Amino acid sequence: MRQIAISTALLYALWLLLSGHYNGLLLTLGFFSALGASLIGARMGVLDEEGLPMAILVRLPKVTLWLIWEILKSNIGVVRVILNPKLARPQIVRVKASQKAVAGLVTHANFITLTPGTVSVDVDEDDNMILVHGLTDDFAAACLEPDMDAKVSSLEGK
Amino acid sequence: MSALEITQLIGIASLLIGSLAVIFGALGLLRLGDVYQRMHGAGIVDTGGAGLILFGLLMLSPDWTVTVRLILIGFILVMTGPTATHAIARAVRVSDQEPDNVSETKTKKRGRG
Repeated sequence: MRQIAISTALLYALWLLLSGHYNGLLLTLGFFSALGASLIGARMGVLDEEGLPMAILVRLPKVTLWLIWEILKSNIGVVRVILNPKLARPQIVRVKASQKAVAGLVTHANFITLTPGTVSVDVDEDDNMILVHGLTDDFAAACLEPDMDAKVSSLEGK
Repeated sequence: MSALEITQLIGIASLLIGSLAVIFGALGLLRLGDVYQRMHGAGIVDTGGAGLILFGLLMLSPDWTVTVRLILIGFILVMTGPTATHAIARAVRVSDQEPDNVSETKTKKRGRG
């Protein structure tokens, strides 16, 4: 019930932002289509903690700035390697993830891929391990530091 | 100089830097070694390129409906970009392509599929 309410509110907000029509009839129709989509989603069983990870979504803005800064820094690092491909010393490392839920693990893997210079190649949800390919050993070593893991875990709360 | 002109200048500057990042990413796709390394070049296009170009367009956007759409595009790119990159990386790994010049010992591979 709570999931349906949240999903309806989010979809209706999205509809309001995108439609640009604000008369009574269309507002009502928009609300009912948001509600209908949410009900169908609930019936399909996709409105669970994995399909609608509210805990992560509401805390996402907190780490966004930090992530943007990291991305900018490693962008410059990768450009340096591209200009001189001899600097590339690729390395594969296994990163331990401390996230409890699948949504958190996926977020961690996505953050690693989002940061240039590192790509998550394989995610093992049984051992909570992410296999990471780094363009140089510096990039790979940065992944092994607990920094990003801690940031993503703080998204999960608790 | 008015505030409007300053935001326009920031917008134009980040559009230029973003385009430069895309060019560097394309260069990386051509110059780097194996598939895994080339994916890092594509990563620059995904993040620095797309991000800075979107930010520049945000600064130049004429009204809020455009702003909302640009933010949504950014959000969707951030969600789908890494997923697509990971899909490629995993496909390469599952098809038994080992990365070149990797200095660390290989870890055990999971089953195909």
